[in-house]
Amino acid sequence: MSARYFRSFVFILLAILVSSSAFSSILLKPKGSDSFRLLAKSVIGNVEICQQVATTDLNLVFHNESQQRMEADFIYTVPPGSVVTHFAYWYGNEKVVARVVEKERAAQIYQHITSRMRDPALIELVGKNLFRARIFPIMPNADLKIEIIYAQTLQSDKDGVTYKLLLSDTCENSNALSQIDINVRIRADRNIVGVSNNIGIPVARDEKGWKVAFSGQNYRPQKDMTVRMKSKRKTLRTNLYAARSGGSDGFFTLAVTPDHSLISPKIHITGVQTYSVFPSILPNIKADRALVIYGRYKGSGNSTVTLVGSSPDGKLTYRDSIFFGSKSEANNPATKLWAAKQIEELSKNKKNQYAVIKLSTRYTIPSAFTSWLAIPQEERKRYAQEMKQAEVSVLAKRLAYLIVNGKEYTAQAKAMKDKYLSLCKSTGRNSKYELESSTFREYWSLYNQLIDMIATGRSGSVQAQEIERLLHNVAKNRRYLQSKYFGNVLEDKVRDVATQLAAEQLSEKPNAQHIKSLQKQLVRLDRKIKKDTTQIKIRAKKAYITSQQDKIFYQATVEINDSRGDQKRIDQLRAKLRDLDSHYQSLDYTQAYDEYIRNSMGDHKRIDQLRAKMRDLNSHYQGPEYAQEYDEYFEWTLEYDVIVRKYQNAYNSNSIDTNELRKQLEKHNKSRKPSWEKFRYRGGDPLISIEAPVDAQQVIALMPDGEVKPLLYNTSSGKWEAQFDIPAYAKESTYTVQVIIVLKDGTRKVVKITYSVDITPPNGIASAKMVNTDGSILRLELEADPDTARVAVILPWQKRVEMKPSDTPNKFFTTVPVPKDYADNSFAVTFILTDNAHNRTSVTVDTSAEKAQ
Amino acid sequence: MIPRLWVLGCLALICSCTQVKATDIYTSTRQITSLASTSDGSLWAATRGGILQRKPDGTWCKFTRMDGLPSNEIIGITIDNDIVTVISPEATARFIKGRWCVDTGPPKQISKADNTQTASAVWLGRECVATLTELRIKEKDKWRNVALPPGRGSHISALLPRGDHLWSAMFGDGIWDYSGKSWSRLDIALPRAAREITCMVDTGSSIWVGTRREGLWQYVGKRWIQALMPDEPYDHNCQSMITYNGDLYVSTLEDGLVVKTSKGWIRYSDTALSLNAPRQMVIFGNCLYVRHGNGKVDRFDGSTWFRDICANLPRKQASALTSDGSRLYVAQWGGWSEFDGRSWKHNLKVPELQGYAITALMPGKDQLWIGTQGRGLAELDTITGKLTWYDESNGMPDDWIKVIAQSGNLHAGTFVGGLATWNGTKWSAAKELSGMEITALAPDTTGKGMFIGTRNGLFHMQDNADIMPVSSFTGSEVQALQLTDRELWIGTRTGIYMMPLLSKD
Repeated sequence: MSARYFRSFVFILLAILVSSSAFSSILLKPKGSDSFRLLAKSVIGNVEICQQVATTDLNLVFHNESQQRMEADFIYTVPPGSVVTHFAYWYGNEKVVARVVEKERAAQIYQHITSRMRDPALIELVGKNLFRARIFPIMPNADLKIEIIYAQTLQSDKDGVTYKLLLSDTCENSNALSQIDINVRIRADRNIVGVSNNIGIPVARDEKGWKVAFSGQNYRPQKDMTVRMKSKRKTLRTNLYAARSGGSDGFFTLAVTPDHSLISPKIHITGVQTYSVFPSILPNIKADRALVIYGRYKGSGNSTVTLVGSSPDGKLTYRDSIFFGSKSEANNPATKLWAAKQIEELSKNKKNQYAVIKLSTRYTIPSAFTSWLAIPQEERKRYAQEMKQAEVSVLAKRLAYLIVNGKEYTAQAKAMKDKYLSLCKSTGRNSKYELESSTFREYWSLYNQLIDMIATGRSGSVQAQEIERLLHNVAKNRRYLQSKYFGNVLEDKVRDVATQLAAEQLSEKPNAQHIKSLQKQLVRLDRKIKKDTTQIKIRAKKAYITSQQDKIFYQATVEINDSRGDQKRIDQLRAKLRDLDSHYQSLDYTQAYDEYIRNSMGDHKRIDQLRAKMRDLNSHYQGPEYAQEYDEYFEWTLEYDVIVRKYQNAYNSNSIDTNELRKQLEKHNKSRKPSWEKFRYRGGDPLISIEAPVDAQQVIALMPDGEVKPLLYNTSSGKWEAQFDIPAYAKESTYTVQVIIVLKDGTRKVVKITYSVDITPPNGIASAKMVNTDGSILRLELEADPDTARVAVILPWQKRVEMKPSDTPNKFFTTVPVPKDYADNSFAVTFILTDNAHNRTSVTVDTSAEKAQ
Repeated sequence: MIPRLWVLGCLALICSCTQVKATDIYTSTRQITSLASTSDGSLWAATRGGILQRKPDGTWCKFTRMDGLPSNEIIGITIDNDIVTVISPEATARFIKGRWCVDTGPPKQISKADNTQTASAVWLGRECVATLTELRIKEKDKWRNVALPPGRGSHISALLPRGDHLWSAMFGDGIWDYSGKSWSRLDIALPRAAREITCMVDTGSSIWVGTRREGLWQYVGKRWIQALMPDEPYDHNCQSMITYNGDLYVSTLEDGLVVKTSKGWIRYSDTALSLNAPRQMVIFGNCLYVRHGNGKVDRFDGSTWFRDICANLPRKQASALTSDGSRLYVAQWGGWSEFDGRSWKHNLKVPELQGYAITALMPGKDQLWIGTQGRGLAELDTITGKLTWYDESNGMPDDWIKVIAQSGNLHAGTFVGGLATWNGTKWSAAKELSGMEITALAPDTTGKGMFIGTRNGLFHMQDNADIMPVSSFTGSEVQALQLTDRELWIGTRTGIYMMPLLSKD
């Protein structure tokens, strides 16, 4: 047989529904938009046909030839009127059989397990005859083995009944199944006069019936397999499958095929009592086409079926004798077919959901409200354990609630505690710790309620008193609930209310009533806290102002640095900033700043004083790094503003050449940028950060080596960002990164940014001089290269001193007291110069040389 | 029972034998930089993780540094008289008679008109150059500028002449067809994953597309088939490594975590993590803590990720993590916080530390070693609270501490000063590592030896004194080390290596 493979996958579900009109089809598609092939390797089918009912058991093996682990949707369309009764897949050597679970719960469990990269399968009824099994994970280059069983009533015509097994549609041109093994067994039946098939396989006959079997390797099915069961010609042909399924009453499937078309047919069965028969209203029957009914029966034995209906020739009545057996066959197809019909009928009304779930669970048939879930044993155990652990937390929480609400010694609490302890024991959880933590949280929540009541003036209410009593009682014998752990709750509340107050006061439209209410809250809290909370309130307000300042400052920075920045917007932001500044410190600062900008010759000393104050405040509240960055940025913008103002004046008056000022501006821009725009390529994480609209379609950076880096929008910073690294082999140079922004409307914008690789250490000329004649003070000076960031001095008495930058650019100085032991001797002093890229140089000078000079 | 390892012997082997070769290398070939084909129908793909060759019979060969390439990072490939030449940032190599021959001299440069050029091709005898903003076609000594097609594509990242049509890959969008007059989007059902195209080639039998992170895609019979190599991590630019629950967790520069499990490599991205840039990992209380480049910390309990668990710390951003088993230490600006599993204790008001970035922490018996950026190393006596600084005045070669480890003596790796060792009374700098950036330290089980990762290669210290380079890694940018009972994992910028240790058994 020529090699060929068995493959099927279709991209969209619609295609599946359209193409699979009559017979089963198998479709595997990985979840997501991009599909991969999963090749069928082998098919093993066992078919049992009894009367007009067939049960098909298929074992299918697929191969994931891609190199990706994937979640796949196994989509299976069964023939109309069929019921899928069993689904299993193999996890390693374990056959994992699907069980029916309520749909929502099944989805939750599946989600829970797959989120941990585990291996369940979720099988759902997604259409009338359409099943979807979601399987995860299918490992790269691995096999997926699936077993599916479905029962169906076969279609008939005037000469007999036909069974069809779909093979060809699921096979593609150039590959073959490595293994195929099909066995069709037809039980002995008085109506059947002969059995044949369309692929020329010999039919074996024995006392049990007929058998059609074939197997092969590297087999490429040319067509679907059909097995034809020829029947005797009769005016009415009846095929009854009836059996018990464990209980006293049985299930039956009855197919009646009259030789005339009938309108408004009716069926009566006498001799055996039948009930729960579907459909309740029979459809019209075409000549030589089967009408199938499904039902239950009591007792057993011979009975008569009477079919009555109108035909063009008048009213017709058919009779035939049938036999209801007493034999019990567990999970026989009649049971499943009947249950499926019952579920179908009940599902028409949503009110029957509970009944449908019950039936679905009992007969293991998925429905609109249930799914199948197949979970490997190992994972089932783990899941059960986790559920137990979750129950421990829930119980601890409930128990804590009872404890805090004074119901610790009730029967309910006692029973709950016993269960809780037993669960803790079986799951290995620390019962004491869990319970204490939960009690702490409940206590905390109640305590916060009380504080809310105090703040809002309800401390005298019955409810507040009750809460206070409960809190007191529960904390009595519990050290972990004692007040020292709650000392800051009131302060936190003060902070919280003070922040709300600041926000309201500084909002564009302050609500006087709300302000009043918040102020009252603070008074009440002060009364309760019994200590001065002024500092807490000031800090809260300042923190709020600082956060707002940061936000506005950032917006202003963006606008200022954008060549197309909106001047009006910048002015608005500056005004806001000034407004906040005035709240934060004093109006003096803002006035001095404005004055300086206006005249370009403001009071330097005053500005420096205010700047120092601001630096201190920022350092205190925000930390030294922030203070330094803020200060640097302030200095930079101040200088920038001054130059811009001069430039504007010059431009407007035409009095002097503006080129020089423009050069100054460019130089200024290059010389120093706000620190948060620097690439700190040797210290932290190098980051490309670009201001672009959040709805931009795409932002990418083209790196100097040609690599493309898509930038992602960072909601915290409001920028598009990407990490990058600089390889050790990068040469010392300035590199350009080109950023392309594709805006929502399709417009493309190119922005260039640069970073430098600097591996040259700074250099400098140092001096060390005794400035006191008694040799007790040493003055150290150093003139360094412009990019020198800091200088430290190592003194021979194992002391390290940081030098200060002098007013003269690139100069550093410091004075140090000299220990007595060194005062009369000359010694070496080492200066360590470090630049912004952390390149370092050491320069050593001897004090004797200085003395000699 | 795990066999005891003959570590001493192994280390001796490593130190004395300069030809020690790591047995396993893991690189990702998902990032395709260039494609070419030879006359026999072979496809050659240059990637950031080596070279891929697809032979005419459909089988794949992968070449890395272990196979003679000058680097795993290949940025260009050219075919001249059927000789394959590959270009790495530092050298060029040719494939001759099944072997890679590295050329002496500077690496060949990839020809480019200027740095705004993103792709080029010769189409119908005309020179075509794609720039950031347009397509330029040279017609009779004059350049004709063609506006880029509409859509979400950022720029033309590859060009492929197809008869009288020119196919242009618009990065992030797909492939467009240029007829000479107008653009039209090609109706070829290009999968979404294959739209970040970096290069294209036509081998005669099919068209191949190389992507930024999704490897190679073949267009054959009107279908796209992805070709990914087996047993590869998603990315290999390793920043740190740790073994947790028997799996190796590797943090990458910008692709989240890749994990080597018994079933193969898996990946956790920012759908589970706070950021795709994890930088440091530590285990505490059976949980894995991951610090990211933005200072956020995530926790993984083996089944679930908890994001940004340090959001409520006073100074928000974590700059280093460590644990002594009983506590988790989270370094922040000017101090650190300690977590005992139930509550936090903050140490952010130590006056001497204010204003300094804390880069590394190492708890000792009665002290805590604190590495800083710009102030050297501090020793805090946890009983008396006394803090002692160690800097250049005590013999430290640099005041920026990158990593601290104890192996007999205490060692501090610095940013530009190499390794400093404390013998209890004074610090001394290792001459062999002078001026180097120390990125990782992995003390071995002898108590006197240690593997040292640097941006210049891997070294091994023996008996707390002799430092020898591990020659297989000379010049490699080692960024992380993880020593297990059986092997040493070496994480570099361009690959993840596993060097087995010899077992006594």
